Amino acid sequence: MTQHKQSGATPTRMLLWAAALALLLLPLTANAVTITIYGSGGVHIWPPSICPDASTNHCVDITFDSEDPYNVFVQDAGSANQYQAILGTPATPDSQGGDLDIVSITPIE
Amino acid sequence: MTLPLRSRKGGVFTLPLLVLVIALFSRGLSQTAREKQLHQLNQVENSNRTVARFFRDLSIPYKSDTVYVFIVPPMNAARVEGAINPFISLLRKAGVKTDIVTLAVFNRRRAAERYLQRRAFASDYSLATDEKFLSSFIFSAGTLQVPFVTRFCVRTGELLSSYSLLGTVDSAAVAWFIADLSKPKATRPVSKRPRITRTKTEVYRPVVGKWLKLHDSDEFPLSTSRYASVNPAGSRISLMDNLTNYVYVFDLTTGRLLNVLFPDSSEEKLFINVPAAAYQFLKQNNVINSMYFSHGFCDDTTLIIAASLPRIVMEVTGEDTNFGVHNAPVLIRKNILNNRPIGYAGFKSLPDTTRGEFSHKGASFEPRSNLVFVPFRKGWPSGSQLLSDITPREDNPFTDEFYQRAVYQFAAYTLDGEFVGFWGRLGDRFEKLRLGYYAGGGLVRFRDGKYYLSDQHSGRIYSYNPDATLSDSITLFDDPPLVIPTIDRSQEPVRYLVEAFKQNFRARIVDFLVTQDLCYALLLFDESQPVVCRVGLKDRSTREYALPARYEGKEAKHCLLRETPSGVVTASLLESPDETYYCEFRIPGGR
Repeated sequence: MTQHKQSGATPTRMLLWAAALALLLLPLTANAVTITIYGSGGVHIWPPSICPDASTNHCVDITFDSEDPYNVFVQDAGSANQYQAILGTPATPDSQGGDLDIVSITPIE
Repeated sequence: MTLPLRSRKGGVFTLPLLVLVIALFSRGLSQTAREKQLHQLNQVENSNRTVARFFRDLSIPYKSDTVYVFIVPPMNAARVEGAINPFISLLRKAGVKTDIVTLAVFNRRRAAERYLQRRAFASDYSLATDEKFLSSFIFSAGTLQVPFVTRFCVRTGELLSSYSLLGTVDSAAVAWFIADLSKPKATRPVSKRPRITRTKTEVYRPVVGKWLKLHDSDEFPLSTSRYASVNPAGSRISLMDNLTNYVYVFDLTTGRLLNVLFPDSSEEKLFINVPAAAYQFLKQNNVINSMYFSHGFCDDTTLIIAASLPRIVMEVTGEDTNFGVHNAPVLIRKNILNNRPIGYAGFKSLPDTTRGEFSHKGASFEPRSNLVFVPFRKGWPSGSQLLSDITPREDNPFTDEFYQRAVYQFAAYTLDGEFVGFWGRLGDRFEKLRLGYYAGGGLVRFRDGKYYLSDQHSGRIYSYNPDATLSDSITLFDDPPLVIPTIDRSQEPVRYLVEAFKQNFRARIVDFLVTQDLCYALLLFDESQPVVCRVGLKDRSTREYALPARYEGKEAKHCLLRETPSGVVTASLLESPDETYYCEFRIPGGR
């Protein structure tokens, strides 16, 4: 409270903080599917590859929110396929989809 | 349209509302989300126009003035790329409708394009560009080492936000990222490189012993290679391909691609036991990666490979499910002609009493002694976060406690994966500079009953007896006087490491070998000037021969040194964006 007053907080702002906190905590109460990728992480000189070793360090923590942990796989795998199928269209707007549209870019000056 | 985010009790909230609320506090949150990250990306001051021109030249019909760009060093952090598709999915769920681009930054065109096809990122556009693009950015680690998600204003070329995917990916992080307007910028630091006392380089006119084009395939275009090995007969070269993490084997008489060694599905699933739908999902999101690294020929047709196979542990707690994705470090023997595994051996853990880990990716194989040496490492920098107050002092390289015990250089294993013991000690200069194991790595070679150990950065190679006692040392070059940068380690720990290393180490030992009376070392000064240093084992006389950094219009990458009946030669690759040639340069051996 004191901290909020010192930073010039108004009651409205405090309410917003509370709302933000509630929303931030929401994923903790929802059913979650999480992926924890373990590896040494860090920064490297040589070889520059990151996280290929066995380690208890967390490299990446991914959280999906879903009521049914198995549905998330079906849904997301499905949507990933969809994205893949339409990937060809944006770069060539007239096309009707198809293969991945890979563009090599001329180096910038 | 907004996509609902459901709570267990059935309440429905929307991510866009979360974004709106977080936007009001984005300044405070931006400090917690990005500034604690180990890897950070900032835009170089006054580079907006260059970046704007880059985006304009892509000819993308942008839907709005904002674009989300995943900047990816392909396969450098292969498993971290598993965060890209989930991040995209969360962006879409949060209502983002603007264009999302994945940008693979790599200089070999065909290999980069094949990589993008294989990875199938869920972005609207998957593009490849070369490393010149990176000149508009500054990375806390000195180079682009992990994938970043960034947000740009297309019209002005200004970076609005950046976030390392080596970290947390969830709806809160995505909401913060969408709202963040911190526009991370930096000026390019000016740092001095040390002067190294070197003997005068001999005038050496390259003598080419062998030269042939390597014919790869459209399915497996060769990218670049960190690890190479030549069979004893000198008729085949194996190259670990950096964009597939497979091993490509080429015939050195015809240049033909003989075989590609990779884990088939049964090998990949050796340590995976999850439902089929889960496996498919993890695979589609690029979370499952099998990786082959350093390797060596046991004989003319058998390779032994240090590999990481995915080990996935599924844990269900109440209604929550967690997939722990680990690396299983293994030694795999394969026949180079049929990709069939001859045998597997898992690396056993280090003794429980040892605080530290080993890094098997850079293993040195010595089949003649039945040993494999893997660099030892411990402490920070590790994981995804900056050094913090809760980091134990034994893991903090800036404290005395870090150096009081377990400062080994290598762990030795049998080729069956049994731990044998520790060899060598962390170099003196690393301790004095408080660099800990930041540099990592190391090479071991075996000759006439002696083991020769190098940390790859100091100018000395130490020889050890079979009982791991120190025998002698060979000086390749004198290390420059220590320079301790005037950077507050507590405030900018990563910048201190990067600068302290840069100002005190200038050469990397790419490879070395010991003959009956000479030691040859392949050095790379400033990561650009290749030199072979030759030292007499008896009289310690030193000669240096500068190798070409470019040859016949192509970039020359010298991979290793090899002793042949006619003398010592390099195994070198000459690379253009689309082609690779194999080349051997003969190194003078006379007095």
